[in-house]
Amino acid sequence: MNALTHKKRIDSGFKKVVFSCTTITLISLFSIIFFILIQAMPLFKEVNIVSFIFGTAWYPLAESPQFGIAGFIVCSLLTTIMAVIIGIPIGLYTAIYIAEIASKKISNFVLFVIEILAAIPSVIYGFFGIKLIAPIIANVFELSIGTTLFTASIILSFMVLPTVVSLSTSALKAVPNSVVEGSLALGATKIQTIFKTKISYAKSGILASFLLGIGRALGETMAVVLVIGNSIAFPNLTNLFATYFSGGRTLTTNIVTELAYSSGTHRAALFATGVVLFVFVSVLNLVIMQVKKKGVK
Amino acid sequence: MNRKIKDGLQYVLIHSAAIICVITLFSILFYILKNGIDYISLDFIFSTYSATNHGGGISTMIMGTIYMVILTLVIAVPISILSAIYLNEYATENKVSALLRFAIDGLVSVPSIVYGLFGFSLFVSTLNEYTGGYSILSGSLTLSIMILPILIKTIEEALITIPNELREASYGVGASKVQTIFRIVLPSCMPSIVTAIILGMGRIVSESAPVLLTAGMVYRMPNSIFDSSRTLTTHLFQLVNEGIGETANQQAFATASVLIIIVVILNVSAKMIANKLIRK
Amino acid sequence: MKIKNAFQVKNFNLYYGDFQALKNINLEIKENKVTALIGPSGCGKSTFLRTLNRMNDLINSVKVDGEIIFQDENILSKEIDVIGLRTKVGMVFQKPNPFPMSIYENIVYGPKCKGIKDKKYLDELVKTSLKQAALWEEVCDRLHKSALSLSGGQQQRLCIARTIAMKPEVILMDEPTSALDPIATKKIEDLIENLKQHFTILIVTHSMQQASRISDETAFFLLGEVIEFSKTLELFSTPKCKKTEDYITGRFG
Repeated sequence: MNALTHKKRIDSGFKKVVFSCTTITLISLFSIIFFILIQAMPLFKEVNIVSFIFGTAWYPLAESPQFGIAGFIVCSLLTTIMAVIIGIPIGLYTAIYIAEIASKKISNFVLFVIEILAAIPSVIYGFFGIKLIAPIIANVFELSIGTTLFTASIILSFMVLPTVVSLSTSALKAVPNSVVEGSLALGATKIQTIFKTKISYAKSGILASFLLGIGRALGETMAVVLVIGNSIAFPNLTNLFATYFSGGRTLTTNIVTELAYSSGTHRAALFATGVVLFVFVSVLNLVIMQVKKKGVK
Repeated sequence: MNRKIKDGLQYVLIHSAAIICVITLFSILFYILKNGIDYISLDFIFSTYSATNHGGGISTMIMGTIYMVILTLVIAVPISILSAIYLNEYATENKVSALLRFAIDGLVSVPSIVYGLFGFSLFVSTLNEYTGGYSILSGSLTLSIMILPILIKTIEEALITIPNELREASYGVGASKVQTIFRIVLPSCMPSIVTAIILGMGRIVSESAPVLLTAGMVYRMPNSIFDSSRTLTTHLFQLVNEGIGETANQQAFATASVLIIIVVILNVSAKMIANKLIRK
Repeated sequence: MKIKNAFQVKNFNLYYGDFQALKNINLEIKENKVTALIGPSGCGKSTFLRTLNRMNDLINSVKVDGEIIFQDENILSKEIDVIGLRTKVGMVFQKPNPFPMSIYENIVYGPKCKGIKDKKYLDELVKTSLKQAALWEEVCDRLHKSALSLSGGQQQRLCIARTIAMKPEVILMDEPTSALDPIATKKIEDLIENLKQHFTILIVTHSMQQASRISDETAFFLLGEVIEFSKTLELFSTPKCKKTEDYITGRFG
């Protein structure tokens, strides 16, 4: 009898322990939001939020400092969009190769390649970008310096690939065989079956993989900071071609380049940059959750 | 026939995409190892770095990385195993567990630089007195929170695969829930947990932005977890960003090669454990 | 008038790896008739059905020999245009498997895959196919709603309509009513009765009552062999073979 109650007491105690451990994630999420906001607050005593987000000039250390991050937002969006334009088709088609075309052995090999691509440190991507890709870009497009938005986009497209490939592959593999047979029995070719039926069946999973890829590109820091040139000039929106082949600065790289030597309002402005990034990613994340929910239905 | 051409074109595109992925990886690996492997020597691994001429070796950065990996795992692994146990063995479908799962999904999507800002704000600034400011401890705490959600998710996936009959059999012979979890459930999915931990190590080794913002840049040998330290990634970043001249270049390639070798080894061993699991 | 054969099966064998699943099958499937394939689970009747439009190609380990003549060609030969064959020999599956698209898109899927783009033709095709499948009245006001919103029986009739839209010669049905309730089953059976004016129908069924209700000819499969093949009425009333009699008297569908 005594032993039994003892067992019970351990059981209920353990439940409390594991529950508390799990709440650490929740506490962490709230602390992240709280500590970034609290550090960003001082900025808004001096600058209003509209001129922060839409301001085009960033002179944090001037006599009368200016904190406008519109240029960084634009650069973040431009590099992300280009990375996705390059990375998503390659990623989706590779997923199709793995899930549908390749033999088991080869598809395992390609999947492993993708896993290693995902595991390579972002610093290495940046290093590879500045040493090899940037000089090539400079050569091909006859630029004096190869560190440009386009260079960053290419590197980001490599980094988006693993996310898109692995999640799209699982989505494609989850399509029930009955749907495939239905399509083949109607005289569709294998390729038609893949593109018209399987993709449409797996669309929520595939879309989620795209959105997660976008999130990855938007949040990437160290690879980008090495290859983007870090200029604070506001990007030329009338000539996007020229803009892609000049330097720039994104939300993430703004933080990492300046945080160490910042103080006061300047530091607050960098935290506020982080808040903006966080809001972007959270909105994206909410969309992803909706997409996945639809998929479940 | 029209659709034959269309199909053929798609086949070409599908194969090209896969080839691009493979070529991308191998060109990165080949380019970096080709330029770096010659500079890797025992001396490079075991001697200390000299900032004046970017000479010497990376022993301190290797130590810094090892400290960071061990401390982060010590913090994150128990918490994530216990959390996964809660989610899979205890949690019922209610609002609390939905909220916890929402938080985990939320944490996964937070960019690493935001983790860096958070760690900087909380551990480096606010808790300065206890963490030593920029230090291995601050870095590890930050990285722990960062890898927590991924570890929880992978470990939970491993727990899910354990069939319920096994648990029932254990209850049937009078074992308590805690006994069942520790004697039956956890041992049965040990290999998956080990795989998850190895991949987690890879993440810790690879991470740089949050480390830069929380562990600082000191390249001396750390004496304790309260010292600032460079890891291999932040050292590489520093060399690329600020190093000038041929030696800095050589050091960068050699450091990058070491990083790539570590990451590939970690992934291959994780793969081998996972494969063994499948063969069983 | 001589009744033509849709399929002529000669000395047909099928192997899964080392296992022989179908042994020396010889059958003549008549045009514009309903032929039922019956037999216990695992007897090879579904495998045989799936051979007729080469759906077994999806399984790597399958090997075949013998001849199956359809429209003067041996459909087992390597040179045969499998895609073309499947447009002439349509198939309806055990569980309704509509695509996650609108009802309209489901019907025009096959024709579109063939490259037909004429909107007017497709609109008309959707209408006639759905009418032939006795589904038009129920769905004509929601053609662009998701096919997944239909009931199970409606989904199966949609799958039949989808097959009809290909204008096939033959429709293969692999236990098309096994996932449906009796009322939906009745509707499908009535539909099959009407469809045989236009198509040759082969149906695999577990239910002997169903076979006797709807088919003109019946083949009884056992352990990979055809034990008996004759007019349905004869097979069920005066089976020639002892095994057939055991099966039809010992089981109730």
